[in-house]
Amino acid sequence: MGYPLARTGKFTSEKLFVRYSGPLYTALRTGTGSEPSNPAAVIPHGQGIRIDRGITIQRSAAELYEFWRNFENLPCFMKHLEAVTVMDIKHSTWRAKAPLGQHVSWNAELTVDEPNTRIAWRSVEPMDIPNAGTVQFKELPSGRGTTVEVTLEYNPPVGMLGALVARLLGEEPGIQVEDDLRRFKQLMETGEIATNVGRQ
Amino acid sequence: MKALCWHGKNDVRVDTVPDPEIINSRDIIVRITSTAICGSDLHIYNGFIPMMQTGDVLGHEFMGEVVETGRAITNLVKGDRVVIPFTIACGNCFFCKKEFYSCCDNSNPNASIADKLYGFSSSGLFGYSHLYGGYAGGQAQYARVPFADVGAFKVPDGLPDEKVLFLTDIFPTGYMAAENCGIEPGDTVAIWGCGPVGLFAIKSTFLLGAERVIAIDRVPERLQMAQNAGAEILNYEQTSVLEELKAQTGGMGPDRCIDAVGMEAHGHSPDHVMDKAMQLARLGTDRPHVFREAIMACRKAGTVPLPGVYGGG
Repeated sequence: MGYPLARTGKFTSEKLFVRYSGPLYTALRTGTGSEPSNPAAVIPHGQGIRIDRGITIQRSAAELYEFWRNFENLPCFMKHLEAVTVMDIKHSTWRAKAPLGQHVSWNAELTVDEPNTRIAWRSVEPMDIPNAGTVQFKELPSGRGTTVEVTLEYNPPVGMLGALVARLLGEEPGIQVEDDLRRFKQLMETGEIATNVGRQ
Repeated sequence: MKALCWHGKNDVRVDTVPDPEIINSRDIIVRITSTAICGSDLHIYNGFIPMMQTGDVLGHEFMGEVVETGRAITNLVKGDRVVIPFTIACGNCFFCKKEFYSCCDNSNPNASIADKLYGFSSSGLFGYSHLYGGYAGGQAQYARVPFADVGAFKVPDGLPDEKVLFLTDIFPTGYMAAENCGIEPGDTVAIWGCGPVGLFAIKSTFLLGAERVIAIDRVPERLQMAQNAGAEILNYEQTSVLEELKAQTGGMGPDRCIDAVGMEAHGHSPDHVMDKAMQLARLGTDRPHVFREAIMACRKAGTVPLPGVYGGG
């Protein structure tokens, strides 16, 4: 259901985290690794972790864009986000759970806002962990829904070692993003997130 | 409440467990009035289904009375008598919209694990291990039913439980097998397995216009029920199925061959002995003896529907 986005580029650390499972897919992209908006500016080239994942949702690009654009909605389906507070049209504060019961937080600014098409953001000082993200919405023909493609980049607090430790503890970021996208799909298509556990 | 819980291979017990609760707004809680055991429960009982945990509540064929509804439920009220299908379906995804409810994208919270095993996850299921969502099943006094606005259907007054309980699973399963045949006038349909699915497949096949049905089993009571349903019968312990099917169809073979047996097929042929050995050595989960036979028996350009359950190993 969710898919890794394949592309040529120099993000060697990506290979550690590529997953191909269910309807999460790898989209082919041509060109170099850098996005036009250069979200990698906050992370030195060749460093850090980059995750690309996508999914198809039976909703219009406009509906999906509108929900995502209000960053305060993101913790509804991004399990490791505790809260996002929007300060003004460009700035927000994010707080997330990290492995081993820690927390990280950062301020972010919006760098791209193309309605119904693309949103990009990156962390600004003060930040526990440099990171940047992009989400693109593309409607498919013949009422087949909208693909949502997410790219996240971040520099873990203690470099590559931090990410490896996180992976060992079962907090592998690629899987987290896949599960987040799955929950986003459930929320947007059904109005709720499927669960079998007790009280929510 | 009391519920039938899995405790390991060949070990199920009635335990006292917490009552289910409304969690999501499209849930209902059902007080169960009738529940059945399915042939595929035996795969769980015999230890062939992975991702079972001690204490899991079994059962996916149940019906009863609505005792509580989530905020978003408008089509059902407390007191309604409902049948609950085996599959849990959201009604909104690509597959549900095409009425492929057992392929729902959104009802399995453990879809990421099922994806890795099967390529793509099916819908969530009641009482069928954590691979299919870990939902508590219906061999219990109460059950939580997600997406009840899609799945639960009201029973018309005057129909007792015994007349509608099979709509939970085995009647639609048998019916879908018959539908998948693509029956044409004059067709002969061979059906392996005269358990509940096979029997409903026999009835459905006639409903959909088959000329003849030949049913295959070895248990005398089951063969008798198949005959009562209008089928000609073959006992595979007394005769060669492949030879008989050819002889009884003028050398052509049946037009449609339904495998209503699945992975725990029983037989005596060399390929079956190999299947059993591999299964014991856990080299493969399936014993597809019947499937192989159905393919061989079926006429050229025929159809082989598979309602029988396979693990995929």
